[in-house]
Amino acid sequence: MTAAILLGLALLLMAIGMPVAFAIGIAGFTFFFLPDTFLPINIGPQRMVSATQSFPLLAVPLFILIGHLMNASGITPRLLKLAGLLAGWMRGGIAQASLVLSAMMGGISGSAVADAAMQSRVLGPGMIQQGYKPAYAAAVLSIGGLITATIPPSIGLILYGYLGQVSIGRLFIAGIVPGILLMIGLMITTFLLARKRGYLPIHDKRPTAREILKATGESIWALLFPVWLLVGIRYGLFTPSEAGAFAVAYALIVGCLIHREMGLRDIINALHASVRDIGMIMLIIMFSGVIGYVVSFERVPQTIAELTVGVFSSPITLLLTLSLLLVFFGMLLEATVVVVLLTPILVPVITAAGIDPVHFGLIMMTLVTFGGMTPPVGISMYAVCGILNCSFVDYSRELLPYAAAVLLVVLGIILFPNLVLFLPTLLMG
Amino acid sequence: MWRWYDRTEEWLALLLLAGLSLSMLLTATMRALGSPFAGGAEFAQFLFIWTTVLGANITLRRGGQIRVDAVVSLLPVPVAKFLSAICLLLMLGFLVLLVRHGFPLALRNWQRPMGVGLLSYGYVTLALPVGAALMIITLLRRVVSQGISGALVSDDHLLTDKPL
Amino acid sequence: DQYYLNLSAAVTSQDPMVIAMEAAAERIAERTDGQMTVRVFPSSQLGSDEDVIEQIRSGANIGILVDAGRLSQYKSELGILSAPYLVDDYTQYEQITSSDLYLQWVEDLADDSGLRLLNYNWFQGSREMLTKEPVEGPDDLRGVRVRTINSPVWMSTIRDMGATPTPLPWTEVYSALQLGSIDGAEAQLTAAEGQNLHEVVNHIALTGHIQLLTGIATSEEWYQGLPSDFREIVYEELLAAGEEASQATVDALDAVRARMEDAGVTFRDVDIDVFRDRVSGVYEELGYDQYRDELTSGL
Ligand code: NA
Ligand code: NA
Repeated sequence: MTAAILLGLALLLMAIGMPVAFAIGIAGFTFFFLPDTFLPINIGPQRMVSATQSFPLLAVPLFILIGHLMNASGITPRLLKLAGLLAGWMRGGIAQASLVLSAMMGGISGSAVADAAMQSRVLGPGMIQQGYKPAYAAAVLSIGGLITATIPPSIGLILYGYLGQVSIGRLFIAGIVPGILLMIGLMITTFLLARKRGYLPIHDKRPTAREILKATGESIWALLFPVWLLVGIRYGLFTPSEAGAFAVAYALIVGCLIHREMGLRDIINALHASVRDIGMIMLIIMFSGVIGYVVSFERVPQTIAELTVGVFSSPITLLLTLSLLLVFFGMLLEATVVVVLLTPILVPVITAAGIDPVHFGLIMMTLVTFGGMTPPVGISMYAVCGILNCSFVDYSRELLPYAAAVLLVVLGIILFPNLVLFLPTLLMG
Repeated sequence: MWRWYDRTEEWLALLLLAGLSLSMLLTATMRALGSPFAGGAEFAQFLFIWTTVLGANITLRRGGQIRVDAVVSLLPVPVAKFLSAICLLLMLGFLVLLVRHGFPLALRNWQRPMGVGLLSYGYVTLALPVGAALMIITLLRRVVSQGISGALVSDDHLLTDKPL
Repeated sequence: DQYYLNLSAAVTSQDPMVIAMEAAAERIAERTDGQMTVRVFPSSQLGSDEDVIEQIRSGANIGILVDAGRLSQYKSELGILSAPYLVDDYTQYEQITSSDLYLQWVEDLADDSGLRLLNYNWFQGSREMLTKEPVEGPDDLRGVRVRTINSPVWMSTIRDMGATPTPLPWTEVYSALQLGSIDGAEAQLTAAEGQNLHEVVNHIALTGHIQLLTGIATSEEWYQGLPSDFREIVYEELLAAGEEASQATVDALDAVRARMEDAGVTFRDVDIDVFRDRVSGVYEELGYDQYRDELTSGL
């Protein structure tokens, strides 16, 4: 009850325009001023400090930094060329290429919004030149970020794993198949739309094996990255957090020594941009430390688990219900906020119901990240529509077929858990 | 004077982040080579919380902390301004609380070793009250330069490069 | 008036410690006619041991189940209770914890740090060596990264046994072993089973280097603020719970071992005297040698 009131207060403060980190922090702190709380107030600052002192969480700043280093290191343009070659011959070629590019970028970047914003700048104008409606271009570029965020590495999965005490290595490996399924689903949707609207290919013939080989060779360093990231995690060369540090070193070596395109200035710019992103995402995590404490102190997960036991006849009904809830919250709130508020509550609930937390993690992250692409609140939507200058209403209409494809893929994942679980089980036992 | 203050803070945050990456890399490398050195991860965590509070303050200075303006933008200007004033007052009060309770906490933690004990946990705890104090200054500066209505609004027209 | 006590433990909800705590909670509620409510928080839900101790020191109505090594930061002499091979059998601790020397330390702890150490009789098991490769003697531990508790007694003990001590949060041990970022862990069997460590190690050497006894520390300020009859009820019931938990631990041992063996883990007896000799330096290093004889004479 107390926790529900505090969550309500946090939502109210967010609604009147307070930065979300502060809304969460203030609502949490209110707990210590409630008449029946017999706890010293300095537990508040302590929980906030503790919230940052976790080894798995160190992956967050590092993967944010990699995202910013990637464009400067010359990795992005090479991948773009390869994606164009692989998918440009299909109907709606440039849109198809953008989805393939999202998948390739996904192996290095962990952020849907960064991917959508970057692609809107690089590919958006070209799409509009080819006669795509700006709102359609915005929709396809924005939804592509979902592939990037699902294929490992993924900042969202790191946060989920940290907050729910779930193996981040397993979550990463489990993200591969859903990421590929999302790419296929979105490409089929694009094919159907492009046929109806007459969007053309950008190349008039299929690429030759020779061309593909050449472009692959040029982007080999970027393509190899996710492979050795997963091999390293699997064989214990490094933990997922340390993988971030190696990835930074890798991006620096590729950018400075192999591609020879990155200088000190670029590195400094990337550090600057990363510091701001870290300050934003980590302030939310830090200030949410108290809400997390209240949630365990008031035994919220146990209460919900007791209430829901017996109500849901099967894990599938429970997952379907939670998915509706996550879509709803995802539409209304920023993704980090949903993950921070709901992971500690939901993971014990689904575990008690016999659902694998890795399975649920992929469902939760996909839906919550998808929420960032939908109105009324969606950072990906803001970014892409801002860059391409289109209205949210038009964008939302164009998003509908893609939203249907995403929900269909999630439904598949819910009904067939092994789509998610067989790879981590195969590789990690 | 503020220019130097801002620049120093930006460079400091940048160096902290670079140091964080480096110490993670060293820790992992040393362990892979079979001679683990236990202090590395702790040092990285110490750098992490300081990067976080400085980064948070830098972002706040640009009005860049994520907020939902969908509701507020529909309201008449005076109402929106009133709500913005309430938000600012609550935020300032909250930050004052963090300063007031954070410094004594850091002092208490001075005896507490961090992990293997290379660093005092006090240095980690200190980041919170110092960060809160910096954010108080930043909020007051924003109110002076942007007014009550504009203090929390982002300077960047495009919301880009958000991490998730 | 209504009184609340929140009990925090690092072990999981299935652990004998937590089960005994919950039984004590029921009895305390019964004996106080519901005027006192005890809530149990397993799996470090209220924060790490260090954080919870800090909360208690600022007066929170929390009690935490900890070993003396953790408290040695506030009263260094107490650390000897977690020193290696102090006793042969946990039941011998009863004599130690009724000695004047120990009782004086407990009072000093309360005066200096605000921590009231209640009954120190919760036996969690003896610490054994869980590894990927077989261990028969100290030589097999050379270069082996073994997770241990991050406090001086534990770190020195593991180092002197021959391994490379690697501190990690208990909840991260499973994935660290699975991923190979550590090669082993030292732990009591019931807790190891709670974290499913038998899935990620192949060998357990029965080194029994530390008899892990723990006690409940709570806020002196809060405890003294209770009505005296409530204080007595809390003390008595937690004492009884400690005995139940210890007995349950001992009773569970054979079954735990059998389940782990079924899961493919090999148990191995080792020459304890060899290890005992190697770690004797720990006492001198930490200044405990002067108390060792006084506490253990006549055992
Ligand atoms: Na990714
Ligand atoms: Na949304």
